Order: sequence, then structure tokens, then C-alpha cells
Amino acid sequence: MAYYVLTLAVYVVVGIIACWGLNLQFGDTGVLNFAYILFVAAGAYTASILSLGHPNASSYQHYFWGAHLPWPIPWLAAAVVGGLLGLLVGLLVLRRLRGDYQAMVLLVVSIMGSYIVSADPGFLNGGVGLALIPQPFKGVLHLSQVGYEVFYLALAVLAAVAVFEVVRRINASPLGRVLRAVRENEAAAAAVGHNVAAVKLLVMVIGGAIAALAGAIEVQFIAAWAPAGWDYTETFGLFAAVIVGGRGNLGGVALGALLVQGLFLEGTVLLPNIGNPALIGAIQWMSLGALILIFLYFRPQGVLPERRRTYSSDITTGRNRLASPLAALTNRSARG
Amino acid sequence: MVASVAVGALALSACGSSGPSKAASGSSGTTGSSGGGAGSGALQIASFVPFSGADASYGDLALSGCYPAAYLINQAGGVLGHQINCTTSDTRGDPQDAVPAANALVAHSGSVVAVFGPSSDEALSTEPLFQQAHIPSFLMTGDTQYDSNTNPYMWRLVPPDAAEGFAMAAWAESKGFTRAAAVFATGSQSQADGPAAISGFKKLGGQIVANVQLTPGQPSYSTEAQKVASSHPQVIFYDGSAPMSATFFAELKQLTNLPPTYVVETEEEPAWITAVSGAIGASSLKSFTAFEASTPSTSTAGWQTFNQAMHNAPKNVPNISQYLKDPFTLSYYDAANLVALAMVEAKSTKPTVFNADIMGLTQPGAGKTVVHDFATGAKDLQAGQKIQYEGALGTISLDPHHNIAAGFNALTEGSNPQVIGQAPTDLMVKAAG
Amino acid sequence: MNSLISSLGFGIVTASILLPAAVGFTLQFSATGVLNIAFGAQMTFAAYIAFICTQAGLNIWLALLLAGVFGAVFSALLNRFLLTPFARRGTTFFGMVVVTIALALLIEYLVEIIWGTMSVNYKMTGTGVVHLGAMSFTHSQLVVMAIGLVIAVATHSLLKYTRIGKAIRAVASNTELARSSGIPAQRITDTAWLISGLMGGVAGVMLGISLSSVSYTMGDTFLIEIIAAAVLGGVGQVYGAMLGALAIGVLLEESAIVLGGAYAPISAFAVLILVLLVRPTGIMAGAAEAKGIA
Repeated sequence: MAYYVLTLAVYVVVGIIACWGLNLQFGDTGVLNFAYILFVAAGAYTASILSLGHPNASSYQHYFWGAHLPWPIPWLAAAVVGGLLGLLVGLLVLRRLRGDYQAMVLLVVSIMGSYIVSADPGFLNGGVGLALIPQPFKGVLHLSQVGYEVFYLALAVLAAVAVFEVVRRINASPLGRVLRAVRENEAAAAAVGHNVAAVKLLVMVIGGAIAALAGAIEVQFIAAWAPAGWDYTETFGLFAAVIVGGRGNLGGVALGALLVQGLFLEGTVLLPNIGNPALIGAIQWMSLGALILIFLYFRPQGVLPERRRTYSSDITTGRNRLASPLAALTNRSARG
Repeated sequence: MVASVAVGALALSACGSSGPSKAASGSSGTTGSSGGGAGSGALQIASFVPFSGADASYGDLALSGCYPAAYLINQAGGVLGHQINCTTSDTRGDPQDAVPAANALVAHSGSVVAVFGPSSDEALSTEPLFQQAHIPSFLMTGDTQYDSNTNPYMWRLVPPDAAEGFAMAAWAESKGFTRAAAVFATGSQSQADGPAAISGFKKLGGQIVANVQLTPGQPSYSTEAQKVASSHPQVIFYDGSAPMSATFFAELKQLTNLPPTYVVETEEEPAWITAVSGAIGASSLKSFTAFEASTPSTSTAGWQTFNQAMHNAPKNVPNISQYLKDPFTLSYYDAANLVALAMVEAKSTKPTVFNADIMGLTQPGAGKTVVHDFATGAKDLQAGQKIQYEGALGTISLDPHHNIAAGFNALTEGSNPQVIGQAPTDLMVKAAG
Repeated sequence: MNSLISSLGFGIVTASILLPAAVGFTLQFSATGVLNIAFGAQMTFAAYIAFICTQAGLNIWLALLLAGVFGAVFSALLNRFLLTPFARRGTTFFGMVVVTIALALLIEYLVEIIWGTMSVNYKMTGTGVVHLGAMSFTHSQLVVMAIGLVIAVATHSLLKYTRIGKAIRAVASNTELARSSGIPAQRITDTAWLISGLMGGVAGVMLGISLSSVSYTMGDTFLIEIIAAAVLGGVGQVYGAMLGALAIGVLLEESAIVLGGAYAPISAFAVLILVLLVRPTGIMAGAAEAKGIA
């Protein structure tokens, strides 16, 4: 039982990390990244091949390249790859495309990702996916199964704390206000001199890195990863968590991850068994849809709303202060 | 994945397993582990396979074998005073959802005496978990890496995928065909039998004139069909899902005079037959030959008992008629009986004690009584006799790797498949080379 | 070469299905500003309605018509009772996208609950094949292509010659101007959803006919091709969507010949992205920019 509770705890932590990354893009900046799950997958695959070791030709698993690197390199590398992918996708999609195009093209990009992996079994073992991915320090620690789970949970929480610090600082910094200014009114933000494209690119990179880290943590825990688990619709589940919890509020987003993905979906399992097990799944997804609608209609700000901030001052006074979002990140004295 | 991930967080009381994943939407109806149904002291045989999503049909395959066996066992007074319950654990067909489901199952392993599964969708990631927990698992996957298994807790009463591919190649060779087209879907199902059919046919001196992959969910496979048609194969090696196959064969029929072309493929479920015969007409299916692990004649005592139990069991899957000759159903019926008899023989419900007895129950031996059902077997064992179990599958011959040695039957494809021959074993061996 | 030509034939069939879908999708988007992710699920729903009709003994083409009507009514009701209330509450563009995502989940899983995960087929009779050079078409494919053509012409006439069509075009290019056209905005919105539902319903059945099977994820998967066609043509550009449908349909088939089936969808979408890098608002962008909406 303890084992099961710990498993769920790790999953919750991973979900919270992923939702924080999504919140940075969607909640804070208003970027609708429908390819978010692709970044989670990129991190998971990166961490996998960096811990699996060189591919063995006689093995039943085929992947294009691999190494056996110690923790935390696979996690860090995953974050780097996620960030680079964010840069690539961002350059491709965000710079020149209109907002509605961006959302649609990102959806297409997400699907392309899983087509590419499935098309070539030699790339990342195709539809079967990678498995038997080594877990950090598993062989060295000689812990019991439960003991190791506690250890892994600690690692995950450590990562979550680091991610929390990053997103909290961004939120509190002048950059955070720029993000919100872009979200509230792109044209106005641009009019006062903010480089909207650069701001969006930045959150694609940071959010992508966070998503990939979440993927890396998840994959080294469950030791397997396959395309069926990162279908593009999975992204919507994360969106639901952010909306229900309260976009723009880190505590709210964490609560949303817990509520939507935990209590709510698992709660339907408590329903009497209505025969066909597949029916319960359908009802879960329908309930998720209904929940999103109810929240957007009656409480669009979520369970824990974003604290009130005055955006107008940003837009009217921020003209020359925030020429570059990167400068804003370091310029902490400018906090209002 | 992450959406599915946090799933379950506060649901500790539910003791459910994984979260939803779009590709495999469904419940984690761990009915037994949540305490529903199973009386105290009851033992569980957990079907750990997809019950939702693309491979949802696997769920009923496992259960259709478990239910009749449990019915007979419980009718005979159970195992060492314990009733047997068939419970379910939905893997949703992907490792990301299956791993927490497996962990949930292991967490409640006190009463789980056997796992029916995992399937190829989740075996790589979850089979090691059951091995660690010392729970006997009866795989529903033909993945080649288990061909040389050394783990004592792993059992496989279903034939390996590669063997199915070799059977296809051997059959085509025995019919004198030299030009074959290979058409396999991308994805986990066909990553093993496809390459085996191709390499096997080449080893037998045949020529692969077209090698085509089908990506699921496309609006058309016309161009793929065109490639196959223009290569003028004498035979097509095929494996693909129901909706995809309906589209592909309809388009192939449009381009070629389909009936003369010979299609050799893996054994398909009723849903597949319905979809494809709806698309190209039942008569076009006459040129299809399906392969499945040889099923025994239905005149054996073991099958007769199974058949009666299928009809009498108060709880069973819908449409039992389609499972009566299904090799998977028969395998799982026999697996349940083997596990139950092993417990009786070992006088223990602990897998660490009884698992070692399973092998012996399948083997012939001097002075052994051959039994065809649990009740007789249990009585004989309690009387101190040695037994050999021959159930619905007939004689079960396991190799040292706990894999069943199966021949392959060639069958007509249709709602009522007829055996038309056997894949020549000498050619199969040559194809596997 | 022959195979490239015969692939062109298949591509045209796919394009004929894609055309009503992409036109309906983009027309509704341009008139209402709502990016409807539930469009694919609506297609699937209508395709199953046609299945019920054929089960009841109706001719498939009559079933197609009824499914189209169902799609139109369903879409109009969704607009009236779901999307309009959200719009009145001031839900933003992104908020509306999320609303349609939720709607897609609701419809898709409702379909799964009603009809299950197994695919079904339309009962159809007469599937003769007509050869045109290297191309070959079944009779039903010929009808599918004819429907595509009729819809293209009908859409053109609607936009060009009817008052409501002109009003929709006006809204698409300039909302202020539309106000002065004298047609109430609500009527334009209603009509746009009605037409998009009709087109989606018809396209859903056409897809089911062409695929020779109907499954609950069918429209959801096809949505990606629809979006690609609409984006390629320039979102909101009805004629662009027609061109986009043709381009994506043909690309999917031709790249299957050149690169192999597994890579066909990848290459088609890669082309989409490349085109967008050169023309960020699609191939028909010029017109839109001139009107100042891009």
C-alpha cells in the first residue's frame, strides 16, 4: 500500500511540474502551446537514451544512439533538449505566425512528433517504445522497493522546488509583468516597446525545458515510454488542470493538477462498476470536458484565482525599462 | 504521460490504478483490489491487459478464459478452501498508464495468485515488476525477447509473434509462391511478425517485391495499395487493425482483382472480420488465410469440459460463442487450472511455493494420471497421486523457457473459420534459420 | 510516373472529402472567430448518424443528406446554447478554444459510449470501378468527388450571390463593415455555424464511405488534415481552404509514393510548415492582408 501511495505521489509531483511549465506559457503569457506534451516526450526520450547506454544490435530495443550517464545528467540534458526544442518550435511557429495560426500549427507539430517516432522503429523503438530504462542510483543504494520510492520521491520534490523557484522568480520579476502584459493585450504590449515575439520565444524555451524535465522524472520512474502515452490529446488534460486550479497562480495550478488528475478522474473509479470497463474511461473524459466548461463559465479564474495585479501601469510606464526580456530577468530592482 | 500521471492522487481509497489516456481511455477497474466482490480469503487471478483503447478486446480474451475456469474451481470447493475470483486491471494499452496499474496490483499482491498478461503494449515495462514481486504472470504477448526467458515466474501459453511470421512465410513457400508483398501496420503489434515473415520468406528463397508500412488513422491507403498492386505479388503478408484493414483492402480491391491474390495474415478477431468483410464483401475473404496456434480437436475431454463451463458459468464475457475456439481463451482457461492445481499440489497459495509446481503438471511421466479438469486433478492430488493436466489446449508442452511449443494452423477467414492445413514445421524452422 | 498519376487520382478523392470539411471549418472561423477543435468530433457524430440511417435501410446517399442536416442542426444548437453564452460572458479567443476542446471530449466519448470502440461499415451496393488512364475510381469515389465539386460551386455561389453570404464575407474581412450591412451579427453567426455543421456532417459521411469504415476517433484524426488545409490556404479564406484541401490531399498520396506510407503524413505537414515560413498567413494571404485582417 505504501508503495502505491508513493507511486501516486511521484506522479502528482511530475504532474505539478508539468503544469507549472504550461502555466508559464498559457497562464502567464497566453501562449496556447498545443504541442506541450511533445516537450514532455522529448525530455522522456532524452533521459531514456542517456541512461540506457549504447544500443545493442542484438537487443529487441532499437534506438539511434545512447549513453549511460549518471544522474542528474539525464535530467539536465532533458531540460536542455526541451529548451532547444522550444527554441526551434518557437522560431518556426511564433515569430511570424498570427496567434490563431500558432495554436493550430502547434497542434499539427504535436501529431507530427508521434508520427515521426512511430514511422521509424530504429529511431526510438517505434510504437513499442523504450523500456527497462535504468533508475538513478538503483544499483548503488540497495534500498527496499519502498525505500527506493521514498528516495525517488525526494529527488522529484527537489526538482519541483527548483522549478517552483524559477517560475516564482519569473512571476515576481519585471519579466513576469511583461508576460502578463503580453497576455492581456498583445498589441498594447508591443506598442509600449515590448518585443512580444522574443517574450513568447523565451517562455517557449523555459516552459519546454520544464516540460522535458517532468518527462525525464516520469520516465526514470516508470522505466518505459511509448507514443500511445503522449497522444496530443494528453495536452488538454494539462490545460484542464491549469484552468480549474487557477491560471496564473502557482499554488492554484498545483491544486488543479492534484484535483483534476487525481481526485476527479480517479474519483469515477469509486462509482459502482457499470459493467463495461471502457465505459468508465469514456465517462471520465466526458466529465473532464464538462468540468472545463463549468469552470470556464462560472469560475473562469479557477479555484485559486491569480492575485490581482494592475497591468495598466506596466503598459504605460514600462516602455523603455524592458527593452529586452532577458535584461528584465536580471533587473530585479525594477520590481514594482 | 503526464495528464494521466497525477491521476489517482487523492484516490487512495479507490486503489484504482492508472489514469486516463486518450489513446486508451478506460477505467482501472481493479475490482478485486478495491475490495469489491472478493470475499475475504478469496484468491485473485488478475487480468492485466488493455480493457480500453485500441486493444480493448484483449481484456475479454483473458477474462473469457478465467471465468469458466474459476467457475469450475469454485464449484469443486475452491483451492485449499479459497474461492478464485477473476479481477481486472486496465493497462489502457500504454506503459505510462500500465506501470502505476501494475504497482497498484503488486501493492495488493497478498491475494493475487496469478496475472493474466501483460500484453505486448505494456509487457516491457511491467513484466519486470511482476517478476520482482514473484507473481506468476501468463503473458499475452508474442514479443521475441521472451523466447529465451529465464525468469521462473514468467509463463507463456500463447505463441511468439516471430513464429507467426515464420508460419506465414513457410505456408507461402509450401504453396510454391516466390513473389510476396509485405504489408504491416506501424506500431507495436506488427513490429515482430512483419520482420519475421520478411526475413523468413527470403531465407526460404522467396522474393519480397513490395514492403509497405501502414500508418494508422490516415484518410486513405490508396497509394500503399497501388504500390502493392503494381508489384504483382502472388501473395501478401499482412497484419493491421480493423478500420485500417477495411480501408486498405477496399482500395486494393479497387486496383486489383483481389480474389486471385492470396493474403496470408495473422489470426484476426471477429471485429476485424466484420469490418473487412463489410468493406470488400465476405466472398473476397475467401482468398485470405489466417494463422493461429494450433487448436486441439474439440473432441478432447479437456475441451468438452471447457465448453460446458463456458456455457454454464454464471458470469462471463458477452458473445461467448466467438471465444470457444480462440487459442487465447483456451490458454487462459488452462493457465487458471494449472495455477489452481499447482496450489493444491504444493499445499500453499504462496506463489513462491507453488510456482515451481506448474511445469511438472504439464509433463507426462510414469505413473501419472492424466486429468482434464480441476476437480478430478485436485482429488487425485489430495489422494497423493501424481497428475498430468491436459486441458482445453490438449497436451501442453512447455520448453525450458516456459514457452509453449505451438504448431500453426492455417484457417479460412470468416465468421466460422475452418482449418485448412498446418504450416509446415520443417519450413518454419528453416525460415527461423 | 504511372504510379504518380494514379496517386494523383487518389489524392483528388481525399481532397474532395477535405474540401467541404476545410471550407466549413474556415468559413465558421472567419465569421465567428471561434477556432472549433470539436469539428472533427462533430464529423464523427454525423458519420454515425448516417450509419444508423443505413442500418434502418436507407440508401447511403440519402443517409449522407440526413447526416448533413443533423450536423447543421447540431452545430446550430451548440452555437445557440453553448458557444453564444460563453461569448456573451466575454470569454476570450483562447478561452473559446478551450471550450471547443472540452466540447470535443464530450462528443467523442459520447459517440464511444453509444457505438463502442469497434468500427462499423456503411451498407453499400454496387462498387464498380472506372478507369481513367492510370487512375481508377470506384463509383462511390466518383460520387464523393462530385459532391466535393458541388460543394465548391455552392459555396462560391453562396458567398458571391446571396445577401447572407456577402455579409459573412464582410464579417470575415471587417466586423465594423459587417454591422453596416444591415444583417444582425447573431444571424450571421448562426448561419456560419449551420453551414459549418452541414459541411462537417457531409464530410464525415464522405470520409466513412471512402475509408470503408467508421470509427469513433475517425474525425478527430482527420481534423489535423483539415487544419493543415485551412492553415495552408490562409485561415478564414474559403477559396484558400479549397486550394489547401487539394494541396494536402494530393501531397499525402504523392509523398506516400516517393517516401513510403509511414512518412507521408510527416512530409505533408513538413510542407505546410515550410510554406508558412515563406508565407506566414497561407497561400491566399494577399487578399486577407489587403482587407486588413491578417
